Amino acid sequence: MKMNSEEHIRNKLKNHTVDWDKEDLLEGLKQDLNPTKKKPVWKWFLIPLLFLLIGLGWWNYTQHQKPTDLTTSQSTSINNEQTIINEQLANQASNNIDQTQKNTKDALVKDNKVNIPKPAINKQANEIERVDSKTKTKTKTKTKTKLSVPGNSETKSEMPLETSIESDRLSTSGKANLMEENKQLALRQTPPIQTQNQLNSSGLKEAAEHKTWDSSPRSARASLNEKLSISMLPGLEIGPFLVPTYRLAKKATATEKDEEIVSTLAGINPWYVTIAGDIGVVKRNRTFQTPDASFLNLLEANEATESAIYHANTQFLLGYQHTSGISLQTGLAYHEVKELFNYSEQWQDTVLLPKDEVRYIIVDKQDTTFVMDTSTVINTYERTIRHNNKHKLYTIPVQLGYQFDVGKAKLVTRVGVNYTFLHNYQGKANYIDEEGNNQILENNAELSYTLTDRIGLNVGLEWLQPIMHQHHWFVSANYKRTPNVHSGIINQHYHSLSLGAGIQFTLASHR
Amino acid sequence: MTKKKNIKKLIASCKKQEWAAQKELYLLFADEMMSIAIRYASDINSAKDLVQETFLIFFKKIDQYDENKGALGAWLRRILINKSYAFYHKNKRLDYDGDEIATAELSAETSAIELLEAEDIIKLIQQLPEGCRIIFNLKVVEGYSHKEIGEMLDITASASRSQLSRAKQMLRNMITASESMGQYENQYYKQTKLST
Repeated sequence: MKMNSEEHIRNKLKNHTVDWDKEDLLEGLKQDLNPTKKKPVWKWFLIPLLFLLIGLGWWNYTQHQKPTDLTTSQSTSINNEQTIINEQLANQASNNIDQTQKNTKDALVKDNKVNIPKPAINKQANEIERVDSKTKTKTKTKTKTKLSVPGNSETKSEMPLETSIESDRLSTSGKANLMEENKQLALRQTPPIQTQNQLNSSGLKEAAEHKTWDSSPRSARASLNEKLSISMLPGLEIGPFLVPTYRLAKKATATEKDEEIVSTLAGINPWYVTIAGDIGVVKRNRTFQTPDASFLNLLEANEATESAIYHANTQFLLGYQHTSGISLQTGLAYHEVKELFNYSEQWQDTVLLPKDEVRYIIVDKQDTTFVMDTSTVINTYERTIRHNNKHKLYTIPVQLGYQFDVGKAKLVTRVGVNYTFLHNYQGKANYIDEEGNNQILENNAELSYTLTDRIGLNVGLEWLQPIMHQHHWFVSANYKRTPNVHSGIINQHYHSLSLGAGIQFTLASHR
Repeated sequence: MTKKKNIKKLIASCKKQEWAAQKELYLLFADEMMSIAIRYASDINSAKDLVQETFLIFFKKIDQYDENKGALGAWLRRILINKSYAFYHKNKRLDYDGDEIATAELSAETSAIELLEAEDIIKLIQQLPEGCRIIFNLKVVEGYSHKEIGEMLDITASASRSQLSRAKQMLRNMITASESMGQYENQYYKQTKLST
């Protein structure tokens, strides 16, 4: 019998059709399937990102430029100070070179390795000067020749020197000629403007010729010159080029003191880019504008179902730091406020269970029916709905700051406003309907511009520590007040206290 | 054969998100889905929501549909059933593992059920608590085993049996109560005659 009844139900229901208007659902289905395309908000973040990349690229470019690529429009005061530093080093280097070359010549003459009288040497030198000026434009085979010069106690036993000379003159001039030629070639180089008067020594001029001074070994360069090049590195800062010389000096293991001098002399670009984020606790503040007390009671009764969890914020900002310590920054920011929707309800249903007793008998004229007695059973059910509601706000922050120097670190106080241009809310809400029943509403508001009050506040403190040359990382503590996230009869703001961190990139060196 | 080809074409167009094809496919299967949804939902409006949700999911995930794995109608039916118990699965309202209630067969009730039309049966089913209703539908109408139902709803087979017994008992009670109220008395009297 059991199977019969089940089969009966199955058969009846399987073949059953419902009389309903299926066109009803079409409109809703169409809307759900083809929603108005959401504006890709993430694209907004490409703009500050682009600024950031351009800034970093610019900075990187200026850091890696060769000295010769730079113009001479450098700060005069910096150059003057550089000149003084370099002058001292140049003099020292000049003395060393003069002494070394003198010793070399003496040694050559003394040992009769090349027996040429001094006037002859001078004559040769003059000839080289003339020939060289004539043949400057010609293409000739050049030969690299290493000279072994017998040394004395000062020059050591061997000083391999290298130069490029024309092969037709090599046979006649000899080793001493080559030394002189080295000198002459060096003399033809143009020293940097600021030090032209001071740089008399050929050694230093040759040093100036080799602009790409660095500490890497150059096999073809004289060990003496190598030594000089290292000791003379700060001297290269004679040139009008601040950043590259600074970099080169660093490369060549210049002393920290030298670096400090250069760093101090370098100006800082007032433009910077900041990437930051923070997260913190949040409190909701909800007020109602309606005078209808009964309505307010309904809304307020449901306050407990929603509780704020956190407020997170990320932002990309472009800022300007004035020398007075005041800074102004703006950009794009994304805020997210998360709430917990926690709703519980209980309900009961009543069912009648049969008792195996006959309750009463209906007796008709011919028929008698036994009706079974029933007992009432009350079932209690409970359900809990937990859901995370989210407010997403896209804002343009405008913040004013003031900077205090604390040693190398900086303390910045900031105050600003956040202009909200997009808002989105997703979540559940609970309200009591006219019959007194709780209703759960599912909200999924599209990104909208409908907020009536769009201005939020931001007050914060930042502690900046330098990284690399001019950049900083920082930690921050902030207070934020969101704009009203509802429109209409409800005013709902969130107040948050948050901690954050970020990086501040100075766009490029200011000279 | 033509219908099959037509459905294939429609599916291909639906995969391109063409509204005309989506509409046609919906109209083709809406009635069938509604006849199922009405048993799982508590009223016609909930059933409509269920149907709409089903088609929405279907059109959004149509790329995953493989016609070699089953007919389109079966796939839609499965989505609808999944959708109907998803909420209850989430809230664990079916996690009841009580003793199975003995099912006493009453010939009088069986007879009464046989007298009922589909609309009446549906009305009775709709009055069941949602958990019981789902299990009753899955077992009695769809023909799933208790083990399968247990896996679907993440409950034990024993809990499924308990809920089914409960559902049946409730149906029985409802019929009895209705009878006592005289709703079905005329039909009932004709069938249950006891001679004194």
